[in-house]
Amino acid sequence: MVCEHTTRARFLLAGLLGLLAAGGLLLGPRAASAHETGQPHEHAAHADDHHDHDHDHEHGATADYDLRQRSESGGGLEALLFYVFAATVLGSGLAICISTNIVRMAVYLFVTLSGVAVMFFLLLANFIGVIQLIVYAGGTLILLIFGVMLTSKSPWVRFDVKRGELIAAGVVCTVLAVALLTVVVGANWPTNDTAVEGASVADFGKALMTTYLVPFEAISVLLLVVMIGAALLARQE
Amino acid sequence: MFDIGLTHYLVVATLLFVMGVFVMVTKRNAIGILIGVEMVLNGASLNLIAFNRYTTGGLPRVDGQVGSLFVIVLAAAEAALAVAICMNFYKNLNTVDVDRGDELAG
Amino acid sequence: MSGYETALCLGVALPLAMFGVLAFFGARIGKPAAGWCAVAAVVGSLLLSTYVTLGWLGMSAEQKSAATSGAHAWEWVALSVHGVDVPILFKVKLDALTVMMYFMVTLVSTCIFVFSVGYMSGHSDEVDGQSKYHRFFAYLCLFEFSMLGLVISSSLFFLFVFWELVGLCSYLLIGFYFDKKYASNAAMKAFITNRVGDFGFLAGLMLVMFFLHTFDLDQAAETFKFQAIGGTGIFAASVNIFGWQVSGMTLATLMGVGLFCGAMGKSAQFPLQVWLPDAMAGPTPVSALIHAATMVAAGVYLVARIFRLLTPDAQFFIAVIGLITLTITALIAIVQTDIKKVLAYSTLSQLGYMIFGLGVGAWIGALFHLITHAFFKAMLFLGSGQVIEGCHHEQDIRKMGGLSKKMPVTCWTFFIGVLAIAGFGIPLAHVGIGGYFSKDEILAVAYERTYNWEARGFGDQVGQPAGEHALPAHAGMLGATVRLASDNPTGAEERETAIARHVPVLPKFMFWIPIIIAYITPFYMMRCWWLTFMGKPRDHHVYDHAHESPLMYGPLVVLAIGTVVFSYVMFRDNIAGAGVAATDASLVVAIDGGKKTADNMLGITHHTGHGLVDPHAALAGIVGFAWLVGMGIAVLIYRNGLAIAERIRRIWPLSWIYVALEQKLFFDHIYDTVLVGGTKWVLAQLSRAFDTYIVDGVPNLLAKVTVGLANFSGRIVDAGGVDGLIDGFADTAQAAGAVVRQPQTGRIRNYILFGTAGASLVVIAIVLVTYAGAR
Repeated sequence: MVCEHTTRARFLLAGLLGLLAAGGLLLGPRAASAHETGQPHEHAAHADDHHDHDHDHEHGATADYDLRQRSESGGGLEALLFYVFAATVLGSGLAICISTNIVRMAVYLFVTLSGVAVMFFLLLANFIGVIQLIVYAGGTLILLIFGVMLTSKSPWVRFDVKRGELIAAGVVCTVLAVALLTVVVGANWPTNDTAVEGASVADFGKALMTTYLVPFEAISVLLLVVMIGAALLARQE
Repeated sequence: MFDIGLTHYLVVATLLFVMGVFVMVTKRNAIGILIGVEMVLNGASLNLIAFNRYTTGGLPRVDGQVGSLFVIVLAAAEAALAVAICMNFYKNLNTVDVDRGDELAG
Repeated sequence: MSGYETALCLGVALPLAMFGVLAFFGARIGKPAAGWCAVAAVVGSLLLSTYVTLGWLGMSAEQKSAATSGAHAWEWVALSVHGVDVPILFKVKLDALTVMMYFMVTLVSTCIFVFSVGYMSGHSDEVDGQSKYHRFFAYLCLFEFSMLGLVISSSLFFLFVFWELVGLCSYLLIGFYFDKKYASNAAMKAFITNRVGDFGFLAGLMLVMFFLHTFDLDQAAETFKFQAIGGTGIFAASVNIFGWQVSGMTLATLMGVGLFCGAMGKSAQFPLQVWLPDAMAGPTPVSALIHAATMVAAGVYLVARIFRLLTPDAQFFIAVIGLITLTITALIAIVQTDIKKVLAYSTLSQLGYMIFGLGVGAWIGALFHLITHAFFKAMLFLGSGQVIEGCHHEQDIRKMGGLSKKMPVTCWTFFIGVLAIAGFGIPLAHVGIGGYFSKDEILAVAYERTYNWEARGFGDQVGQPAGEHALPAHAGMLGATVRLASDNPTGAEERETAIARHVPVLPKFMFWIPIIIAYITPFYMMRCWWLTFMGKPRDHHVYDHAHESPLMYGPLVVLAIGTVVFSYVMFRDNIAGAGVAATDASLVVAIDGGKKTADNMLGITHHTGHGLVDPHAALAGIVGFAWLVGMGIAVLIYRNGLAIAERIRRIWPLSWIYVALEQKLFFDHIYDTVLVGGTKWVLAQLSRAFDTYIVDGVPNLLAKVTVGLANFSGRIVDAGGVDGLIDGFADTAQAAGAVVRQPQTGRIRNYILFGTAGASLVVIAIVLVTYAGAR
């Protein structure tokens, strides 16, 4: 019986996620590009905005289709997408916190990662979004699930945490959250809302090879080291 | 409210970060802790990307995105190592409950 | 008159010098020579004393009193008592009594020294190898020096010094055969008993020093008289015994009693009479000289000298003591079987008579008896020495008998001594020897005090003005009181009447008991003589070996002649002459008991009428023939030996009385158990306590303290304190560490939590600072 309604829940969840993903993929760039430049914006907390800048777009300078788009105020769609996917991210994050089953935690993590990827798309970081999906969701998460598979005695094992510890953790995290949010919300970020084009992959690659060459090489060495280390650590005696 | 600004994304990133910390503190499964680490790193990279989008001004810049890229790479590397450690942990203590591993020796 | 003083002092120094010679060189001088050296010394003293005596006899009364008061005095040292200087003076008391005593001592000593030259040659080294001949004569010379020094002392202090010296010599001589336990014990007993008496003497001496502020006999008497008149000084000091005040007695009486205690010890009065019989353990010449003639007489001499320092109560006490002594010792003498013991007890009895005489006021009589007693007792002892020597050291008279044939000289000189002690005399015919006259005087005075006193107007009526029974001016204090009353009519009269203690009538028993003893004395002396010399020999072994040695005739004969002659000549008159000054202005009565009264002393009644009876006439009837009666009974009982006596003895209650008397009335037993045993018990307790608590206790205490300290320092200080401190530090550190360690749970989750908490705090801090700064 347990199998059955979990199977059903899985299907439901998968379907929902798929829908969300599709919607995000399709609508994300559009929403992002609807963001208009040239108009100095007040601080994002400014609550007005239903003005319809949808129509003032398509400067579309270059012929080839690249992802570098002028951002315009996405307006309501952007907001909607943002809120939806923010809710997704935070909701699944909350689900991770609450859940006691490691496999479910992994699945919720996948949802979180996907939501973060969509937010990346909303933030015109297409390449990073894609990298997120491929590497993080598709690589790291799978790795974690492999880890779960190799280290679990039984998938239904629950590790319970004492209530006192939960409360302590909750308090500390709440305090931290409050502190950080105070900074985040209260700080006067020097935002510059002129229309910005989404960076293209070529630009990204160029920056990586010129400005960020050393970190790039370092990362490479790191990857090598990590590979060797991981192999060493996990070797069979 | 409809004008999504930097703050919104920062709030989300912060909440994601804090939840990741909560997960790290609360979960007894080693892999659970790793999941928390992933959440924290995600929050950080979301932060970076958000700043990249809203504070560049004029020219397209990729600083934040490069940072985020590095974060992702590092996260992957670290996850690999961490999983190896977890497997070692499991091999030594025959359990994945991090509370059992509270002694340095043996 | 310093010539006489010089002679007397020289006579004292001569034996001392000879003592030094014999002590250091005696061994080298050798056997008979040492003895003759001593004899030479004492003969020298005798010659000097003869010179002084003859000179003295030739002096007139004024010259005599001038000589007495003009004697030179050298101050040795002055003690400071209550701010008053009490000088201690070298001074010769040059008066008739001194001269007479001196002469008697030297004469008797000469006889005895000569006797002992021969006697000791058989009784010293050959006997035991340790009793050295020269040592004996050295001691004898030391004794001679001490005795003569005692006689010429004018100061109580020096009298005491010589007193002690005489006691020392007695100890040395009694213990001459010191390797015999019996002899050394007897010596110790004599010395210790003497010491007991000397304790009282010292107490009295201290009282003299404190209250009379002088040691000189004459000055002391003067001060005493003034204090008596004024009621000051010693007469104002009441007797407090641990806070209980004894009413009616002042320290004056105690002073007299204290000084008499010395005489009790030295002259072996009750209760200190126990040492004299045991003192017979010494050689016979010692017994003769010291314990018959001279040393024991020193007590009587002392009482005679301090006569003016006595109160009537003290004098009565002296009389009672003397009475007790003469009674019990006479009774004990009846049952003695050792010839020397018989003589010892008879000495005690006669000393009792002398003390009794002084106690009732017969000053002249007592001292006269002293002189005559010295002669015949010395002779008796020397005679007994001959007997013992001749019977080869046999002293038990039960084993003797019939020795008159073998030792005639001894026998008949002994008999003269027996007659003397018995008081042989024809009453009212002035014929008698020795004890007859002297005992007669004492008893006459006693009779006077008992029967004639009230009729003479004395008793409670003293203090009344004159009348035909007016007291002579020198009859003691009584006379002075009357004189003072008439001289100083206002106010003084009451005081003097109160002071003038009545001289009490003597109780009847105090007269009759000496009378009874006067019958017993001839009895036991005759018993002794008869059993020794008469009758059939009871032990033929003793009889066969009995012999006399001619060397020892001489002293016996001389003493026998002396006994007879001196009963009449020289001594009594001179003592009577000294008596006036010696008893003048005293608080106590002094009566001349002789046939002819000295001019200035109160004398006995010589006429009858008005209720008065002539004492001599009365005594002639009472004891005139006591000697005959006593001796007759003795002959009757013992004529055939001891058979009749044995039968008498078995009659109850005589058997019990016999046992009591034979055990010397249990004095020795009582003293041994109570005093000696008591002292030993006390000392044993003290020693045991000392041993347990100090000798054992101190180390135990130290051990306990050490253990305690060790425990303390080990457990408390070291383990508790030092270790505790260190452990405390360690424990505190550990506890602190344990507390501090608690965050180190080892769980990674907790670490992350702590890190997060810290990070949040940092963020908050920065936010606050920023915001604070921003505002």
